[in-house]
Amino acid sequence: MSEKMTRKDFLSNLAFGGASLVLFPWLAACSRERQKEAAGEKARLGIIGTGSRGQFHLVNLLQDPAAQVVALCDNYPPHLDAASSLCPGAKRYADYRKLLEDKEVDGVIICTPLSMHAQMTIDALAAGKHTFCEKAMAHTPEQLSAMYRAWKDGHCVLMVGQQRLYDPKYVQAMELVHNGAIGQVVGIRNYWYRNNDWRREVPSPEFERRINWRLYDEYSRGLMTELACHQLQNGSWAMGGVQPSFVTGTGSIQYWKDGREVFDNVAAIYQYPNGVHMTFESIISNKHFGMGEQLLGSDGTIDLVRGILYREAPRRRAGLEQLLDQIEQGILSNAAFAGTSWVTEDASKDDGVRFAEHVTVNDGASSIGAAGDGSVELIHAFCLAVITGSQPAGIVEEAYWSTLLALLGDRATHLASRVDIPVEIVW
Amino acid sequence: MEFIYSTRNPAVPTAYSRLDAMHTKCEILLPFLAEDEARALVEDVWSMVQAADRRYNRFLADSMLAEVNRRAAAEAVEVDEELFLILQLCETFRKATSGYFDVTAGSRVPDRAVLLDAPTHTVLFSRPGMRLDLGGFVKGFVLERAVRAVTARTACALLSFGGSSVAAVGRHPLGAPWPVSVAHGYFTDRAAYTFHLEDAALSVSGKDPRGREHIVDPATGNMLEKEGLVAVTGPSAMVTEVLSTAVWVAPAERRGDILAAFDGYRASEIRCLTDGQALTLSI
Repeated sequence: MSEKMTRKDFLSNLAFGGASLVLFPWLAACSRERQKEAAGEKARLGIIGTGSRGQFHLVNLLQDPAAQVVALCDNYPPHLDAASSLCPGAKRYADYRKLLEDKEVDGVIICTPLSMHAQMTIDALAAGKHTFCEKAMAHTPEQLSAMYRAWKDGHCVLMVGQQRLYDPKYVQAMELVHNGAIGQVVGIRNYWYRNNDWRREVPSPEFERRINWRLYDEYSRGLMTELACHQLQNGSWAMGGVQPSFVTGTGSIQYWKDGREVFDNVAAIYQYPNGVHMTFESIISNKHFGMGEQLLGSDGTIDLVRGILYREAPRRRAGLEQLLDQIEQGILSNAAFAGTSWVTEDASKDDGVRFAEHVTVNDGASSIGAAGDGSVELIHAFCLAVITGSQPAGIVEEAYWSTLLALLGDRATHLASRVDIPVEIVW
Repeated sequence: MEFIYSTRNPAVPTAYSRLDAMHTKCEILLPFLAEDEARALVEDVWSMVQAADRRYNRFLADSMLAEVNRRAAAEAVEVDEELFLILQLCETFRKATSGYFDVTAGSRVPDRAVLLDAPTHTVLFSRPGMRLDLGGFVKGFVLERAVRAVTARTACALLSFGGSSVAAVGRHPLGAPWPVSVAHGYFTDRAAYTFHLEDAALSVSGKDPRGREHIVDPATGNMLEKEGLVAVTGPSAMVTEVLSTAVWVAPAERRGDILAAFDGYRASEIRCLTDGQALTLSI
């Protein structure tokens, strides 16, 4: 949990309601009623994969009153030792199948390399464990379908680590879109730039592929599954759940020629049935523009990263009219009109309205997780789901589509040609 | 008068109205009222403002104030109850602020005094050449009356007279106190500092970095050459209006004493920098 976020803030931020629940049904998993239902109980959890992301979740879970971490599993001893030092009371496993046999474990959190997600998730669900799998869901479309099928055929909760699902900023932004604040959606732009080699330090060469699994095709789909997977959800939400018809793209290794197999720069374009395009671009040898997510509408633009709404043709509203404007949009923001005398009204451009309070602008540099990005809320929602046994509605479908779009985008960048996207979930 | 009734947010139907009066732009925001109720309230408030504008504008030859300024050095001038009350209040505030708030400041006459006779409701200037300028007081006085009229009919409103005098009734319709920002002197669309008002008033005095001097030094009768803004918040719009002027005019070492005489009022000095930053210091 962020040092700046108090416990009270944390819980109140989770108390979504009203229109949000129609657009984002999975938020009901954090409703006051659900929190009340789970009050005083703890989800007994095992973490499979205790590397950087696993430890990130562990630290958050240790501060969550709804969680009790009872088991840790990793076949790389340094990671297991690091996690054990944070949570000495938890049992240690080197084989995840042994952890799945542990009757004291109600739910598991899978934070392993992408290529392992499918088998581990399918095994966990079969073992009757509620399962949280890090994103992306799967390494191939076939694995994705198998995971979906395993969940549909079973009776356990499945959640996937798409933290934007529980980020209040995205919830508020999509409410604005669906209330017509930017008019008709005409474009969606996503980019994620970094300037680092994306490598982890390895103690000796034989651990290279194991530690730096993100760089190798056998384990990873590179930038598409690790980064795009998050941002491609913006399109689904803004387009009201409609998925793109096809994707085309390109990619290459142009800078980090260090033996890696995944691209260090990609560009993909998704086209929706109504002709709207969504783009994703990532370059990891330049960080100037950082991370960006923009919803372009006929009447306005939403900068999702910064939580700002810009209008195409802003009325020259000043003074209290600024506040009227905000009230019309359901926004509580400040208006700069007080002063010694009347201020000028000659603004020629719209400097935007901040629609979300306490926005954490994430520069996208971290590969682990960032404060205020929804990770804490998401993992708390999983704890509540484990305690109550209730599957948050729509969340697996969200994860399915974002992963499929990422995987097919990856295929398009390798083929440098058009790849069609199915209209329905295949399972 | 401009009147807008917006139902774009059906949960918070809101009336907005604007009137150019008192040499500035007077505005009111009324969430939640029905359109006819809001319109009636706005008309009542603007009638009050327009009446005060006619009576207390010293530049209007036929205003009550202009008549006092013409005659009061030569004879005791009988005034009505409201003007007499205003002059009594101004005298009280002059004393309470050690003379840093003074509606005769522009007179450039030494040893001056406004002599008020309660039984006859008359006003007499002690020296020739004196004049009253109620511009720095009436805005707050009328705003406070307007707040009273609004409060009788709704629990949620925001009023602004030129941005220098602001009053909040209740909270913003979305739940929190009204966020009111003092505009940055060099970048007017930016906030130099944000106040959160709930049943409270804000008054801002001083010199906008790009504006001209307009506050008179009571000691010299000349425009005071000084930078920075003073913002005062508290329960009464009339008192914040007086205090923002007095505290800005007073030298730094006297400001705390002036403020200490008024319970429930807080003052800040705001300095806008050319790079867009602003410094805010509590007084």
